[in-house]
Amino acid sequence: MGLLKYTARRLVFLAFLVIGVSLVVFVISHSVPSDPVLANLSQRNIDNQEMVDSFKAKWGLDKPMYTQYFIYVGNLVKGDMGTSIRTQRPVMDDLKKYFPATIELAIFSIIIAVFFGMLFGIISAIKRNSAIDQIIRGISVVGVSVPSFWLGLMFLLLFYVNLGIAPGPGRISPYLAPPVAVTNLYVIDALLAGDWSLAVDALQHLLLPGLVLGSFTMGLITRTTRSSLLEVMSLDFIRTARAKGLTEKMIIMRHALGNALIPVVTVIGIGFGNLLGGMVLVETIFAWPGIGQYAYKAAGNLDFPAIIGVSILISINYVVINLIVDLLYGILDPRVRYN
Amino acid sequence: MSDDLLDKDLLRISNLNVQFRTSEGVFKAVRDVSISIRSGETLGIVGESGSGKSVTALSIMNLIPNPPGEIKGDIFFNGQNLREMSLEEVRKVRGNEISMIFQEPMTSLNPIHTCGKQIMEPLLLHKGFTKHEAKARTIELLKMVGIPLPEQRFKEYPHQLSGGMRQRIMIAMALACRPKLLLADEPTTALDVTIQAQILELMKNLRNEIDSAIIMITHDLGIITEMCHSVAVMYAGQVVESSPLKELIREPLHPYTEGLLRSIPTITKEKQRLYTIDGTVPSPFNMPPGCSFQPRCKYSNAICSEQTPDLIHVSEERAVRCWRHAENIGIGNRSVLHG
Ligand SMILES: Nc1ncnc2c1ncn2[C@@H]1O[C@H](COP(=O)(O)OP(=O)(O)OP(=O)(O)O)[C@@H](O)[C@H]1O
Ligand code: SF4
Ligand SMILES: [Mg+2]
Repeated sequence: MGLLKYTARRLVFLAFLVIGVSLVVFVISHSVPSDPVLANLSQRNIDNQEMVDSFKAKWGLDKPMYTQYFIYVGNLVKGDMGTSIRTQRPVMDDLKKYFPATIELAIFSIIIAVFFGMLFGIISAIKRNSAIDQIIRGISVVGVSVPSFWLGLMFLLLFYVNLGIAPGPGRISPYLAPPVAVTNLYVIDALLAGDWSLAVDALQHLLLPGLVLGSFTMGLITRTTRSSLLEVMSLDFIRTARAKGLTEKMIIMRHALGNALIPVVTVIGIGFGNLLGGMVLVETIFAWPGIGQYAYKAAGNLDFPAIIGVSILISINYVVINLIVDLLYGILDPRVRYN
Repeated sequence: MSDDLLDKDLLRISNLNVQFRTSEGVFKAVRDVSISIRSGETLGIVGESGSGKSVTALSIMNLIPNPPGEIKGDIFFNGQNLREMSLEEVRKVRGNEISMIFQEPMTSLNPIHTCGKQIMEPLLLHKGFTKHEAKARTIELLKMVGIPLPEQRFKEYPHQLSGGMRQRIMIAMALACRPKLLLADEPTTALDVTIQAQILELMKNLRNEIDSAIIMITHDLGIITEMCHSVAVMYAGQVVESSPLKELIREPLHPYTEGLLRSIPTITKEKQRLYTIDGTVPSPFNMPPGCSFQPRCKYSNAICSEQTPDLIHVSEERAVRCWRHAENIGIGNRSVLHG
């Protein structure tokens, strides 16, 4: 029961956080010295006083700042984030269009990073100081310290250009049509449509950018898992588990891992933050039609409605990730759950 | 020792040596310890902090961390040498035929599992109980160790319980499989007097009911007189005296034992002054030549600081590591001459 209550409390907290984040983003964007009227209306409309007035009225620009904020939130709740100057489409539609590509890549790379990071970390800890431990530690140092744009270019050069074993940029091969949109995550949509070869093609396209994007997180998780597991294995309750006659495998699986993963969860949160940051570069290098590229272009064009929209979206992402991390803590650690 | 005697002993440790390789050097925590115990008996181990009591008990379970620890010597349990068993065979004994109550109740339980689950574990592992049976037995054990609301405690996590409660959980866990040998390392330190009496009673019952043997490590000479048939007095890693309880109380042979017994406050004496032995235990890295107790001994003479006394059997059941008694039976004089 503890877990349910805990989740409910975190959800209430989330609502407050979203309000706070939207306020900060709003205030910052409205303190930027630029005229939204100039930015959003065409030259002819600006000369038309009626148009200008109705635009100002729609966004509440004739009202004081706090009223503006409430109007903005009102529009936001209705799903209206204004129109992008660059694409001339509602920001909301743009986000809906580009975000799934990003989230698919992000989820893929976090899964890879968490899975292999933990696997390598566990192997490394169990085979401490062996050759395999040295190799894994070497790889994780590389993962943590090599910049993702460099790694991305090298991967493309090696696996796509030279070896020809990886597909080129993009979400799917150019000769294939995207699957029928359900979730807009291509792998899942392809599976839903029963199109295996398309799903595999989409997965192959995820591989390189996913690895590049997740390399930092994977290295971090490997190192944390290793050190955390080694530390836990020296604690008194592991001795108790040994005294019960459990095998080393049971001790690790039942008694050590659960405890060792608690600090790893923190690192997953940090890693995800890093992942969103690396998104702009990786999407650009791999021609990935996601939010990163959209944000990059919006910034280049001083496309404020789009920038605000992306900011809010990313903030919500952070909040959701934090929520998931907190929930994971609650699941892993009863001391958190019952406090 | 004859084969006949060998068979009667449930546990016989001979020439146990445990050393730790630390950065400061090799540190001999246990030196040439030989003790034995029969079924249905309780052996008390007393001695100052750091004298090697816990290390001796942990060695029986093969729970000394290696590195830095190294165990040498023979430990016969039921006629089989535990030191020569495979890890697989040792595991079948651990928590089943031999179990241990650890000195550290606060840290010896796994924080992420419920108390019930942790007590059930050895039952499921060694006794082939179903979950249902194991739970019933666990609730019964919780009642036995005097835990109120056992059904509720079963579901609780260690952090929700007080130190005394955790200690009792540890005791319940150790008693779960009805071990033939129970190693109790300061089992009642965290408990109040009533509960302490109850736990001691419980151990006595176990001993009488299934003819178990108990090794009781304690600072509390009251517990020793209440529970034990025989006593091993440890000093600086060595057994300096071993004897049946009554003889030991009536006539302590080793000067250290004498000091220990004088340190029990007795109400009959007018002045209730606590006698303490002057001086401190020598540093293990800097053992004096000869008898380890020599710097603190009021009987010491020339040979004491030159030659290390052996454990001398002064009778069938009594042994002491002191030159005074070697002289009494005519060994020491020769050594003095030779020295
Ligand atoms: N893992 C270890 N590494 C290094 N030294 C150790 C280790 N375990 C125990 N020792 C040392 O061995 C010596 C004997 O310790 P032990 O725990 O057996 O003492 P004890 O008689 O049980 O004392 P106490 O009454 O305080 O429990 C101590 O000096 C201790 O520091
Ligand atoms: S051997 Fe000597 S110093 Fe040691 S306890 Fe006996 S009398 Fe004292
Ligand atoms: Mg101890």
